[in-house]
Amino acid sequence: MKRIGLLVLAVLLAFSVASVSANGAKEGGQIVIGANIYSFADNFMNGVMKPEFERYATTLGAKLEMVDSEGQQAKLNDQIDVFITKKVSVLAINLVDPAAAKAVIAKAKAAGIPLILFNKEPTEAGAMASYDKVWYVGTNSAESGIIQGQMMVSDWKANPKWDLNGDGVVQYVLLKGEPGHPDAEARTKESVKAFVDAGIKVQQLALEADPNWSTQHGNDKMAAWLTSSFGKSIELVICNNDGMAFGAINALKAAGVKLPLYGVDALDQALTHIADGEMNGTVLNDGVNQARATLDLAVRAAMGKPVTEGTTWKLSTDGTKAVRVAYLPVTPKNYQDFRKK
Amino acid sequence: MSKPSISIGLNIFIATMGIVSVILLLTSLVFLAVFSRTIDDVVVTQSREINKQIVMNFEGYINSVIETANYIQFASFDMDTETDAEALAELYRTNSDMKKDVVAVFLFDAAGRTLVGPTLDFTLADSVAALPWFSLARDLKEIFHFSSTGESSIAGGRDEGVISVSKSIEYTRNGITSDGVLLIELNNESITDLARKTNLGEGGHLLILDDRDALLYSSEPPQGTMTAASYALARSLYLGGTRASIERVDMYLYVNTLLHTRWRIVTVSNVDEINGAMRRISGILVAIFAVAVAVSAAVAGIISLQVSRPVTQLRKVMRRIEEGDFSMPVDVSGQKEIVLLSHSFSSMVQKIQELMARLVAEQREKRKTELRALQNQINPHFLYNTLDSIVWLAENQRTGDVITTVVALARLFRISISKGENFITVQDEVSHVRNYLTIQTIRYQDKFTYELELQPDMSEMKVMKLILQPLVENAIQHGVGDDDGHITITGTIEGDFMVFRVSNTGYGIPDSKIEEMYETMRGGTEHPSVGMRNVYQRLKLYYGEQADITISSVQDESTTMTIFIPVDGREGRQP
Repeated sequence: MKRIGLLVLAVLLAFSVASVSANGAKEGGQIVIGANIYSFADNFMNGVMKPEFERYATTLGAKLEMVDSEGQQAKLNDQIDVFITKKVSVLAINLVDPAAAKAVIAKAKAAGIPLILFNKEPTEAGAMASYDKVWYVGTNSAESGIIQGQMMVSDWKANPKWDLNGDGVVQYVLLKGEPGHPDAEARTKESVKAFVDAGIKVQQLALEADPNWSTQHGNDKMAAWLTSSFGKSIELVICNNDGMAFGAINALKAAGVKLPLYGVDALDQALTHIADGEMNGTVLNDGVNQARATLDLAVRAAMGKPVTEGTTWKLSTDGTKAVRVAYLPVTPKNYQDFRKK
Repeated sequence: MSKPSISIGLNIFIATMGIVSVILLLTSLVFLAVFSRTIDDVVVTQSREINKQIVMNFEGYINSVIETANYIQFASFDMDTETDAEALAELYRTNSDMKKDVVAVFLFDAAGRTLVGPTLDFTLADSVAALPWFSLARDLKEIFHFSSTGESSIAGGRDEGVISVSKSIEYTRNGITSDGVLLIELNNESITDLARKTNLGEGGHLLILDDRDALLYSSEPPQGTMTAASYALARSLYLGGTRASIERVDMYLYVNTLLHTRWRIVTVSNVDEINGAMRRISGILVAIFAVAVAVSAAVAGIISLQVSRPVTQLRKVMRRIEEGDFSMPVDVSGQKEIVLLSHSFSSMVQKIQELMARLVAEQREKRKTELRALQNQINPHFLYNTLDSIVWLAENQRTGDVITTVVALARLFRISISKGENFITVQDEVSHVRNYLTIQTIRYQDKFTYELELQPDMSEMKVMKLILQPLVENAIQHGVGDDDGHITITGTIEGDFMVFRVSNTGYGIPDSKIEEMYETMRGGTEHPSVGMRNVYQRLKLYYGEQADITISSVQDESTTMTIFIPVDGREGRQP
């Protein structure tokens, strides 16, 4: 008897040791969302989307595990691996490198975990089709560029004084953002195209790509341009996001120069800059609704339901399996509407 | 609940060892589990860090390539391929010459015709548009395309293997802007060099897969089993890390993506030394276990001995007492409880001894009483016979004989009584027999003769009284027949025994009869010869087993009965 008792004790002990490590995800059947932000250093991602993610996840009753990929796809790959090992219910991934989409999708597919990609769309054709449980939430990359372009064109036409040398050609500099990022590429192309389409000639004085879309980089680059040979010729500053625009504004203020400047994202700070007359317009990249759409899809995917069931989101019908959140122009006339309620 | 009995010592030993072993074993196992998990974590973290470092190196390189492409793109923004052809060619050449890893830089138009760049290999002159990197760049214009087909450079005179980096860019020709394709050819060595710089431990290696899972590069021979094994693993893993045994070496395989390229990089690092560490720790644990078990075995042994030794001692004493030996002192040292127990046992033994002594005394009293009763049986028996013969003598007016007989009888009785003593001198015993024989001679009218011989030095020895007379009586009965019989009575000392022999002439007694007589003596069947039985029983009662009576007979000659009495007997102690 005594010996059996000891044996039982030993077995129990061994089990208790083993079980300590075994309590992974899905506590009490709760949906666990493994999510990332490609970089917490990104003003838009960290200031708009992340808070809404956290707030809305609580509303939905899901557990959100959000990590910072620090702008390294290698880091994100590692984080995805950890999420999968922890058996999260669903992945909400903000790719660092859009080119890595296929590998990430294949990984999720192998693990059988639904995957919602958001904000950075896979560049590769066919990637989305390779897995039935992957969806994308984002914007129409081109749309932001088009809206920004239209704003700039109408302002340019309304302000003849902006043509400093009076040659009828827009001499602009452009802070592009991450090369290869569909938004960066599309915005660059569409914003300039708006001038061309309106019959206004453009001349690009400089274009700077920054993989991190960072304020610091925007500041450094703008400062360099202002002191360069073409510094005096700059008539327009196009920024593909507000973060870089803030940097540019800083550099302009430091140099005591006032130039028309446009951004994208409509961050709170951007509205302030518009109010202060330091910024001429931005485009609302509706981060709040992107975050909501991402979580709505994620929770439904985790439950195995149709992802847009009971929501107002519409899946695109062009095979990209995307929910696209619309952009809105923000100008000195209407910026008040976008102030935090 | 009957179990095979186990000694106290063994029980303590087993229990102690059991507990010690279980605790040690559990501790060791838990420690080993925790340790191995920690080690595993360290290995995983380390391998991932190494992988990330390698990926960063590669990405740094890829970024520099893209920067080059961007630079070319922006620098040539306002250059016309016709009017500024020379400046453009210079720009392209500088960029390819500046970096030793850049083999060539080209700009093609939408149809695949060279706008800027070195001379094409003549075999390719018309088929550039059909090359994979060209169509990729045309299909998806926003991004850079990295392709490695293992082909050699398309530039004439350069035949090293290249990686083609292509992107759709805008160019201006004669003032007309249109889309073209920028191609930067990178020497394969650029990748190989980076890979070579990494240290992944012995047998560690690095693979690069393209977006179609095809193997682009392996730091091991591509056809080798090692490459095949890690390639298969990487394909099934897609991303992330796993522990695996490749070529019987413990490896950690980690798959990561490479920025912009849609390639995946696989690092396989040797983590076998972890197993070595595990083995060492296991060895140490086993050693600790062995030493601990040995020490506790020694301690448990000592304790169990300390407990069990006094118990064993006590048991030894008990066994002696069981066997009837009370002489051994009960003196046990050791644990308090055992000492107390031994004291109790000691006093119990004392009580038993007292009880036994009392029992012996009572038994002795009882025997004495019995003996008296037996002695008393003789007298009436003999008295009857003698009185009968006296009557017979008186009837025949043999006055002299009557007187002799009566005197002998009187003497005989005096000796018989002996003031109540049970033990008398041999002399007295012999004279008692002599008186008896006197009486019997007269009774049997000299039909037998007798002689009495006594070793002189035993005449003063004490002997139980009235032992010879019944034998003589028996001898007369058997030895006195028609012929003249002769009875011989001797008393000698033989060794430790007083030996009295009573022989008579006659036909002798058959062996069967002798057996019968022995049987009678021992108290079996009741038989007329009461005297013999009395003597035998008394001898046994007083002298114990050593005393004996034997009967021997020679057919047609004689019968001898012999009494053996131990010299030291009980005579001294007997009251």
